[in-house]
Amino acid sequence: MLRFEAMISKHKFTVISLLLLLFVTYSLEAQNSNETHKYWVLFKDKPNVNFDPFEHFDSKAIERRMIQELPLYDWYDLPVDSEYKNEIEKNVQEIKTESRWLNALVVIATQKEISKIKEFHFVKEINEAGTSELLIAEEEEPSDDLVMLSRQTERMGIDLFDSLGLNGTGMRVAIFDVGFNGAKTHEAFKHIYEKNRVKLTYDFVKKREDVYSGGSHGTAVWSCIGGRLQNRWSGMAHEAEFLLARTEIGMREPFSEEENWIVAAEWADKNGADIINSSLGYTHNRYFPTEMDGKTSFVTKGANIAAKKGILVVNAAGNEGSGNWKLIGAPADADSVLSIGGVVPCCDYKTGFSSFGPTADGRLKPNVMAQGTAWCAKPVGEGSMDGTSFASPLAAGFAACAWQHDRKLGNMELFRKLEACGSLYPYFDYGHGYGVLSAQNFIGTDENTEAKFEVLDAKVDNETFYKIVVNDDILNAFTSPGSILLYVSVFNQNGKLDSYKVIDVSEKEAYSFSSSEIEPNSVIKLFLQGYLKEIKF
Amino acid sequence: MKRVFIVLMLCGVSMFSLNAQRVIIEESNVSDTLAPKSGPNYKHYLHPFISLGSNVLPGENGALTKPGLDDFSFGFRYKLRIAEPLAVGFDLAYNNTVFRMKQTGSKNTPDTLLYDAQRMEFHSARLGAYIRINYGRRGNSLGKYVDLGAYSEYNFAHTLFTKSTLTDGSVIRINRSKLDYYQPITYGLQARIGFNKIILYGNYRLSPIFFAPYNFTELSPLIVGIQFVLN
Repeated sequence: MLRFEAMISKHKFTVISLLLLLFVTYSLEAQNSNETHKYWVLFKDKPNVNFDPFEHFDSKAIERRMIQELPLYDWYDLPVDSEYKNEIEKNVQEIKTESRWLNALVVIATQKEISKIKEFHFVKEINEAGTSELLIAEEEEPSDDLVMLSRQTERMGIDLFDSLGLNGTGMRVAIFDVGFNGAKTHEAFKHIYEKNRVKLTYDFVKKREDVYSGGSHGTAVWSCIGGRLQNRWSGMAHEAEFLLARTEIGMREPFSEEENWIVAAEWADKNGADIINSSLGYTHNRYFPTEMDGKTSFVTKGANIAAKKGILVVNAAGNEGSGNWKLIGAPADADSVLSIGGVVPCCDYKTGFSSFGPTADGRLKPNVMAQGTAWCAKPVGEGSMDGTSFASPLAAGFAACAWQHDRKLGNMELFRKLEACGSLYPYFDYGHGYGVLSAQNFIGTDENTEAKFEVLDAKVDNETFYKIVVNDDILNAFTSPGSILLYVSVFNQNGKLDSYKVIDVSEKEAYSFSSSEIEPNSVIKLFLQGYLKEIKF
Repeated sequence: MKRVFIVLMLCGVSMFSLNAQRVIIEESNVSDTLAPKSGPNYKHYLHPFISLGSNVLPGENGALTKPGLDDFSFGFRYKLRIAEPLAVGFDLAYNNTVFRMKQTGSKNTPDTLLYDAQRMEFHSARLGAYIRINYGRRGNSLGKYVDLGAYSEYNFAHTLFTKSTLTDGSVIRINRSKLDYYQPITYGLQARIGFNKIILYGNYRLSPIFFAPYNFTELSPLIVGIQFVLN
């Protein structure tokens, strides 16, 4: 014991230093009033501002508002009051950025400075602007099977759209991502650069125009909207115009800042974007599942304002389907955001990673689906990539073509029409939304809703047994597992979806159940290849 | 009779169908929408962890060789959230600590003989309690935090390994256990800094490892390393 005490005594300084250094420095760092943090400072009003929409907006932005019969500008478009800005600037370390839509500044300030500006009469609210996780799956599957490349657009009906001249012409699509490495010289985008259809670029992380560094995820995503690979279109809106924005810090540093997204959305609005595609989501690092309610996160608020401006916001549902979070992330929770889940390449059921809905307040999400594994452009070459990151741009490309078909549609009218052209519509569940987007359904050429199965039942005492028997012609078309799918959902007496399943049909008797398995007053919905049948209990 | 036949047929078909059916996806929204009570930033959180560490001090009279991978733990940690920035909890873990004895003339632990290599290995069950202070806004994640606490170990097994090379070139390895010179129970302080699922930790032993009468050299009381939350 004496030796031990002697040794303790000898190393006392070292030991105490090592142990306490960790704690004390960390604590001091966190609590030190001189330590700076990033904050959102939101203002109450915009009292002394002037605004000329024709000076501020690109002509395409004016055109979008006029087509949709929206006011040329509203309160959201007015700039932050310069007097407020000046006053804040005097009292913080730095102003990082400003948002007209949220009437806010993002500042770097100490706790002491924040305490002071909190007292300003024009300050409505101050929130710490933390970091959040970027939800981009980039699992690469070695594959040289170009069937995937064809299938990612053909399954949605690119041939039909192309035959009608629907290829995104006249539409302007903004892409928010981590960077577009290699895109400028890639063959996949040659047809776009040759016709000068990249209208603007901006890196909101580094505050510069060059977006061709920082990451290659955007390159892959862009190719799924309008690229050309192996002499095939890898995205459907290959004749669209593009705005490329770098809003995220990077794949290898999976943290990002919501303010970049919001400021980029304002930039996209100003510069005439019709559609925003963003393949990101904010989840557990900053939020709880209960906050995925379409109104809590900053990025969700920003996305909803973008929709108010007539922009169709298309966002990846997320890749948390098999993770702890499981649900969609923000801003895919916004009611005005078209949230895109991913289906497997072979069939119309969701990939394991594609996030589930509904929102915390029970709204349907994801809205629609596209292929969750895509053949994409890489900085050098091309390859297969997984993630709803790629389903989202495939859907955005589809949406651009669909909107080109009827330019008079408002963005939310288009939103509803896109939902209605899902392969499952009017059936839905929280894994698949309304199913995979279909040009045939959108144009209205596929009206095949004949009965595909019959429901047999027999009653014994108080129990009824049901059997779903598939028509012979359906079964004769069986090609491989997953080619015939029966969707089954159970709605409770309040009309809410309680449970759902997808059954791979390979036998004539596809599914059976008894009334004892179902709560009273429930409704079972059965869907197979366009045919929907409801059974009420 | 006909009705019974139909039911039998349906039941039979049903059983057959159940075998034929392949349910690809099955989800219940009822359980998904129940408010969770456990999670990284909910009231309760239980998770497994592993830790890898080193004896960073050389021990009394420089008794130990250079630090290596000397400490391994696997266990479970429970956290009870008191408030957004404050939580308490405990952890229970299996722990394996190795002390590699430097073979020098002044060596006396656990003997004065010199070998090619000699190491002491302790297997223990460790119970720790801690208070956690969190910093910064976060969602359902562990976030950034500091843990301070204490622990006690029950050393349920100890092995002494020696390796010697004889003059004829043959190598002899000896493992000895059931030795009686070590304390069955030790205790100390623990501190951790966590960044979500990655944690830097330091354990400082306050009690001696060996019984006093043996007069052994005391070994490094400080282990520093990294832990990973497995969940």
